[in-house]
Amino acid sequence: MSGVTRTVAGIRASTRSFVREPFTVVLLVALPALSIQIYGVGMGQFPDVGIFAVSGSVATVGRITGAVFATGALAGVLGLFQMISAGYTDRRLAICGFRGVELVAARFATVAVASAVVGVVATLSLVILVDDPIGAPVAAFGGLALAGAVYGLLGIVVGSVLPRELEGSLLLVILADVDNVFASGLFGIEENITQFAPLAHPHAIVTQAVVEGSLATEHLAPAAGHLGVFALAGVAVYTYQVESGGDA
Amino acid sequence: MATDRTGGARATTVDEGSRDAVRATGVEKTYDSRLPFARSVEVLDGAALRVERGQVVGIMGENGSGKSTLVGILAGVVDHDAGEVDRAGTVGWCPQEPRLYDRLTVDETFELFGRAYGMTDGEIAEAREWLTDVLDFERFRDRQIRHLSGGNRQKVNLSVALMHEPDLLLLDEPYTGFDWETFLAFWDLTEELRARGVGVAIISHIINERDRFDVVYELHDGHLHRQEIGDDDDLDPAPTADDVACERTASFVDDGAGSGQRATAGQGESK
Repeated sequence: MSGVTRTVAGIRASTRSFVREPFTVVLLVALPALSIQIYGVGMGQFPDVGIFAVSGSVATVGRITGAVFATGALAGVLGLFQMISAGYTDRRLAICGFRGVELVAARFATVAVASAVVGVVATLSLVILVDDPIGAPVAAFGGLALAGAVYGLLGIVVGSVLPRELEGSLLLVILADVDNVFASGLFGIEENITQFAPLAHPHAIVTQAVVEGSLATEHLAPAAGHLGVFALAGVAVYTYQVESGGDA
Repeated sequence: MATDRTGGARATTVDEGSRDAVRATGVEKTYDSRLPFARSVEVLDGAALRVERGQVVGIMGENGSGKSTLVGILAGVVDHDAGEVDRAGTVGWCPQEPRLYDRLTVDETFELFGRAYGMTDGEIAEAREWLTDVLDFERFRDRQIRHLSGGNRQKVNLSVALMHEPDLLLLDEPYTGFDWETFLAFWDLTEELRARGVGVAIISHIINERDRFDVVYELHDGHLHRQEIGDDDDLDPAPTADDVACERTASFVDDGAGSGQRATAGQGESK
C-alpha cells in the first residue's frame, strides 16, 4: 500500500513540476505548428514528379514528417531535461525510501502527459494546415502520441547515461531528424532497414490516418514493441542510477 | 548485522545493543576519472569515525578535503571503495545543496518526503507544524521552493532531513544562509535531538562553535583525527552573529605562502 502511495505522490510531484514550467508548455504548443508548416512548405517546393516514394502529396507528407519530428524531438528533449533537473532530487528521495521503480513511474507519467499534450497540438495543427480533411484524426493523434512516448523514453535513457543539456539535446534532435527521414519513406529506403527506426511505425500510422483515413493496425504491435524496449531500458538505467550508490 | 538497502554492499546496520548511531572504519574513496590521462583524486584513506546516540559530532577540514564525500558515504548516497560503514536505525541526510523539486511548494515538499519516509498524513502535518514553527518559515508554506531565499530554502532542506525524527542525522553545512535567530534556533533544536538520543554529525566551518560538539573530527589528507571536547579544554568563545555571516567566506586565509592557514571565522574580512 505504501508503495502505491509513494508512486502516486511521485507522479503528482512530477506532473506538478512539469505544468509549472510555462515556457516548456508554450514550446510544446508552439513548436509543432511551426515545424509542420516549415516541413510542408519546404517539401511543397519540390515538383510532384515521383522523386519521392510517397502515397500522398509531397507537401502533405512533408507536414506529417514535420509533425512526427516535432513530437518526437520535443518529447525526447523534455525526457532528457526532466532527468537532468530531477536526477539529484530523485537520488535523495531514493535514500529517503522511494524505490527506483516508483521514481521511474513518475518520470514515465510526465512523458505520457507531455506526449499527449504535444500529440493533441500536432494533430490540431495537421487538421488546420493539411489541405484535405483528415479522415482519422484520432488515429493520427495515436500515432503522434506514440512518437512522443517513444522519444520521451529515449530521452530518459539518454538523460540517465549522458546527463548534459547541450550534448543530450543535440544527440536527441539529430537522432529524431535522421530517424524521421528514414521513417518518412521519402527516399524509398528498404523497409527491412527502416522498420527498426523508432519513428517508422508511428510515422506510418499517422500517414495512413491522414492520407487514407484509416488505422494502420499492422504497425501497432511493432510500435508497442519499440515502446516496450525503451521503457525497459529506461527502468533499467534509471533504477540503477537512483538506487545504487554513486558519486552523487 | 543486516545489510542496509542504502550505501552499497559494505553498509550494515549496527547491533541493537550498541550505543553507536554510525560507525565507519577504514573507509577509502578515490574519484577515478572516466577520461584517459586524467588523474584520479584520492579523498579518503582509511578514515574512521564513530557517532554515538545522543552525541553531537563536528566534522571539519579545509575546502575539498572530502567532508561532503564522507557524509555522503555515511548516508549511503556515495559508494566507498573499501572499509565498513555500520548504521543504526533511520537516517536523516541534509546535503549541502538542497536537492528539492524547485517547482513544488513547501507544503508539497513536506508531503513528498513524508511519503518517502512512509509517514501518514497526520504525522506529516505534525512534523510540518513543528519544523516550520521552530525554524520560523511558516508563512512561506504555500510558496514554491524556487521562490524562496537561500536561507529559507536551506530551512526546508534541513526540515526534510528531520521530519521523520531519524536516529542518525547527517548535516552538511546545514546553517548556510541562516540568520542569527535561526542559527540559534538550529542549535536549540540540536540540543533537543541530543536529549532524545539522536546521533548528530555536522560538517562545519565555524571554528568558534567547537564547544557545541562532543567530539570533533578533523579531516586532513584523507584521514580523520579525533578530538574529544572536554569541559577543561581551552575553548574559543561562543560564536557571534558575525561568525555565522562570514561562514562561507572566512574559513581559511592564505598566509601568502599558499599554506592556507586556518583562520577563526570571526577574523574574516567582514569584521
